[in-house]
Amino acid sequence: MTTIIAQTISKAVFAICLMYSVNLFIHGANYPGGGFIGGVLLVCGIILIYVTFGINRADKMFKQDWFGWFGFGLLFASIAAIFPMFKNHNYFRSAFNVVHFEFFGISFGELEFASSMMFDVGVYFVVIGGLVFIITQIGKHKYSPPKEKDEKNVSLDRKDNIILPEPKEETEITDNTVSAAEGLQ
Amino acid sequence: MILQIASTIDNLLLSVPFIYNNVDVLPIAVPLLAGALMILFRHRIKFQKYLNLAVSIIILILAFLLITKVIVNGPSAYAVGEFGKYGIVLVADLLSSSMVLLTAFISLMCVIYSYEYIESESLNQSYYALFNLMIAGLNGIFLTGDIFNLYVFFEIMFLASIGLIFANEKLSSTLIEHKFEGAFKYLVLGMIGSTIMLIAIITTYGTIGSLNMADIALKISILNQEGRLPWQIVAAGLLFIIVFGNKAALFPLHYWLPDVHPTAPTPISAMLSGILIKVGVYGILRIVFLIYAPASSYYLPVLMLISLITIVVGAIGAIAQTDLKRMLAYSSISQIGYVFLGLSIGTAGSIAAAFVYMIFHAVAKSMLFLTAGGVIHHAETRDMTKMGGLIKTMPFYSAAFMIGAMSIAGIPPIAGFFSKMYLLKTGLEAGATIAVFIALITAFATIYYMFNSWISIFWGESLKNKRFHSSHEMMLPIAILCVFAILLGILCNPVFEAGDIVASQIIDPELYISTVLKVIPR
Repeated sequence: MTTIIAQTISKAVFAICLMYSVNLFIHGANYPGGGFIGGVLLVCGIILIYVTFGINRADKMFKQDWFGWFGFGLLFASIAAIFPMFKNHNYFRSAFNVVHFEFFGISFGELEFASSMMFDVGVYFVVIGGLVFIITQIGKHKYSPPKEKDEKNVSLDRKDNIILPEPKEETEITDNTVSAAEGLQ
Repeated sequence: MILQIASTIDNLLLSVPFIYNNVDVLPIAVPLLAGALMILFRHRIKFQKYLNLAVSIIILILAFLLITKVIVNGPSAYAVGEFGKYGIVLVADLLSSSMVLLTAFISLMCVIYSYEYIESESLNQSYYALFNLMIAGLNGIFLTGDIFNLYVFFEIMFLASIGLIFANEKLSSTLIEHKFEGAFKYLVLGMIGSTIMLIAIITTYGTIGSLNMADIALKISILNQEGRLPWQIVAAGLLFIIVFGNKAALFPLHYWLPDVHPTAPTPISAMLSGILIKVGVYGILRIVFLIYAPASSYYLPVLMLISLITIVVGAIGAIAQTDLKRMLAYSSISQIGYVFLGLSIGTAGSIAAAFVYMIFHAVAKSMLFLTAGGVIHHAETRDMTKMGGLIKTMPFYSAAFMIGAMSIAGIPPIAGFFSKMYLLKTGLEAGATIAVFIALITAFATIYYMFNSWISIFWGESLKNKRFHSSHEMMLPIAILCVFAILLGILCNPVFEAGDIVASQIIDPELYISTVLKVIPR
């Protein structure tokens, strides 16, 4: 999977995915598409990069906190829903306006801007952040056979099964388990 | 007097139109927003802690304002967005608003408790965010007036609670394998349940052509008056009962609960046993008495049989357990059987008794779970046979456990006695003598297993000499819940009055339906 051909093509495919997902996203409200589908399409592109370049290199390429994207999306969607309440409307009330694009007498068509699109932006980020976060977490998880348990069945930390990038934390965990075992004896 | 206080608060609230107009939706909107903020601030530990405390208190205040509004003005409906007639409707009648208040109260206690109890690593990752999303889902379930949104909120609550089961305790006595096993059962059964729920929703929509609860109820009652009730409606109602019965751990689907509730960290166990299984009760109340009310004569005898088996099976399971939290989980199964017994007798009095039983059980059982968490921290094991003599080292916890055990077993001055007595009394009045007899016999078993566990934990040879130094964060929620368990017993009249109003609203859903049909988007 990590041939130079696959890497080069996946970069090109990522760009196409990005453009098509934005297109799907903008057409959302009235035509097939929207935040969810657009987000999933972009995730396909991102995951392709992760597959071809490997998880460490792809993480360095993107340098994104995907869980943060999830939170940001949820915040955006939530604010988009709450805002009408300050204008004496109900939760999630939407308004819309049609904008004509016309430059120098040449019409470029028209786009419908609905305030529910802000909610869709939130969904877009939630989908991207959530899916990429879950898939990369599964990718980082390496199975190791369970360690031999103590006599008293002392619970070990959950991170025993996960290989962490920083060696610092691993030493801390072993210290904890040792001290917990000592405390019981 | 309560009405006077409520109307003064309501008048005060009128001066703040933003909150007064939106108080129906704010218990959902605030935790949803807070969940997002918690993710963004997950590296700032202190800030997140205080923010979450503030949010929980705000939700409690909002729930209180909502219930005063409902007490003064009757049921209120709220149209979310602008989807025309019967779009997304939130309905707050006395049942749902009191469930929201109960959720807010218990969750505040669990939040305070988890500061000390949950491992800081888990707290800083996603604990607060998932907790807030779970609260949003729960409030949504209780407030929504639309079966599809019921499904959506159900899923939010369910998925968030799975994430919370994996949060680690500081001094964990639960193996990660057990957590995985419990969560896997919970996940698979919940997913099957969600699929069944979706099938039931589709069946109802395909037959009736509406998703709004009040609208469906009206149309089904008209069909029934003409004698043309389609058979699919009865089947769809049964499917809903299976789903909510699974959530409430009714007899054939109860086996996941003793694996899931003990393996979750203690504050989450308290939430699961205190609130989440009541979601099943709430759902079945709405299904049997509102939406599919004309078909309820098919459902109630089945529910009564199942509830009796649940009572007995849960009690026998609890007697056999030596694991403290597992015993409490089996006790939850048995107690939820009592709630369903009251519900299935189907008279106004017995439904009121079931409602009161539900509230008193939530307070007592969440307090017992929180106490058990402290005991497990001290004894470093969940096995009751390895404990003993802890009364010397943790007197506060032994008193709290005693009060909880008295409430669950039904010993007079504590809350649980009055609800159990009222339940059995209304059952006898309705003529369900055999059912009441079985419930009464099992009540003795309840007394046995609660006090047997208390004795084996707190009496006997002392194994620990060091006094248990519990932090205030752990003791405060237990103390508050203790005070409530006693106060609700001494001053139980307002709760019973509220129960009567709830039952009259459930039996005769005319007011609910007319409120929803009059709603206008704003």
